[in-house]
Amino acid sequence: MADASREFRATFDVEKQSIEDALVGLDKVPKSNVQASIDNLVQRIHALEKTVTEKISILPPYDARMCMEVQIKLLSIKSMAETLSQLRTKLVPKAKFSFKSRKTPATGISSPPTTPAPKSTVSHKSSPTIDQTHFMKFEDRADDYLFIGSLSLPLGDDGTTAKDVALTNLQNCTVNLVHDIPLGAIHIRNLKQCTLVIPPVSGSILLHDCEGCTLIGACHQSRMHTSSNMDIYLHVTSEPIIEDCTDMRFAPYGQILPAEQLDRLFEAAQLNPSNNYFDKVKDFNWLKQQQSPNWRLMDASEIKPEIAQRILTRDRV
Amino acid sequence: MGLLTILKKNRQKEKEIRLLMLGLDNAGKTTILKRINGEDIDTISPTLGFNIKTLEHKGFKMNIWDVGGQKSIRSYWRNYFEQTDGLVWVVDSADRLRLEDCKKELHELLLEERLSGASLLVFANKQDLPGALSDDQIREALSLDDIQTHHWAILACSAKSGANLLKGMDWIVGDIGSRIYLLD
Ligand SMILES: Nc1nc2c(ncn2[C@@H]2O[C@H](COP(=O)(O)OP(=O)(O)O)[C@@H](O)[C@H]2O)c(=O)[nH]1
Ligand SMILES: [Mg+2]
Repeated sequence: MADASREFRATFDVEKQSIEDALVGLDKVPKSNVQASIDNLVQRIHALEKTVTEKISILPPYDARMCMEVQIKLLSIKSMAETLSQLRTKLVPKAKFSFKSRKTPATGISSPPTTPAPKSTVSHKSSPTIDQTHFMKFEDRADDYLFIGSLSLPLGDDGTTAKDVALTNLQNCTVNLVHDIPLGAIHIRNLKQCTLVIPPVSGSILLHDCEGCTLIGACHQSRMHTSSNMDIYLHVTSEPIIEDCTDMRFAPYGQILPAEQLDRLFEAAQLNPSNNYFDKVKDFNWLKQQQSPNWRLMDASEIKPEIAQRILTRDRV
Repeated sequence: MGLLTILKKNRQKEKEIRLLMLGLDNAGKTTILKRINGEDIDTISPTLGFNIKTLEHKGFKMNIWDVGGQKSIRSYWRNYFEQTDGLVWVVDSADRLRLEDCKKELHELLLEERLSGASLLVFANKQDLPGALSDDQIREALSLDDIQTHHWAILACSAKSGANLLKGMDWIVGDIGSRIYLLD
């Protein structure tokens, strides 16, 4: 794989250089040949881009470095194409230049592949009919203890379908989401100095703009953005990502509940309990092979199982 | 003839189609792509950089671009707009919390001059979830009926079960095909 990508880059570089040289040399081409030269170059740029498109799929999926290099190179192709386009307008008479043909007339045709939604003439739906029954939220709270079991379920909801949860603008709060209600995705935004315990969930944990929090959670995907100084006890069945984060510390989820109970929750959330990528964090801002300075694993001495215990026992009647 | 026309012509010979998959993060774009491609979908990580898959479908060669939401490369993918024949907009139908964001982003995207002419397929994904909104509800919530500038269609699907994914591809390939290739 490494060889293939190296070989690819070498070929790429040679061709790119040669195209660039030809571009620079365009002004020396006799006028009668300009059109043909440009066409030829466009073909070559196209061919090159095509190789990139084909090759990128054989590259290791998370070889971020390579990916970025390819992207940058794609961009340079693009800028070449643009130079070319400008040159072309300068060199070739304008008459043939038409953008009209590109534009499809705006038809606004909707053609659903399935049976078209019956345009009912009888009933009139009022404004959007999105029921609010499938998510639960805590927002704008400070210095509080927030337990999901204290939120009432919407009328007629038997509590068996997974709910998404939104936690927004919380300061210095303790949040306990461990209850009988199955949870889907957890959306977290703007939490300061909070402690959260999240049971195994069937969706993702998505987090933005948090600071100084402890998060204990188990999920399929973990996506954390613009946050800092966080202790994260995580069970995640794919590589977690961080973006624009600093001082992120990761540890395994830990046995927050009796084994049997925890196993059941993992199963209900369709999470594989023996597949934890908490230590395979990918930093979107750090594409080098070396460890990112924005996250690290917690030392054994830093791991505090009692945090979850304290919060959970509080609600066990 | 402009540069784009030449690029397009060249692609026409091979009946090549370029699709761009977009949507909010966590919508299921990567899962859909891998599912269509017959790959394992159990441990998909959030997308770093992007994925490109080339698939044959109905005699067309489809290049499908799945561009992650990574901020540092967001500005890059605009460079590919003008070579895009079709847009696949993926929606997490269970994500009621972000429907407004989703609508806003979609309508902003459709203002892009360079995307004018691209066919739009909206995938109302994650239909296997009991809390998922139907395609009609998504159509309404995203104000799809307001779209006057693009050919569009919405289809309820599940990347998890695979339901309706190919049907969606059929539609977009058909729509693009009739627009670009049969006009010659
Ligand atoms: N239940 C369910 N989950 C899905 C479906 N499609 C994707 N997911 C999950 O949604 C999460 C995000 O998917 P991903 O493809 O990474 O989203 P992207 O950010 O749009 O590429 C993952 O945990 C997927 O397993 C679906 O059809 N049904
Ligand atoms: Mg993705």
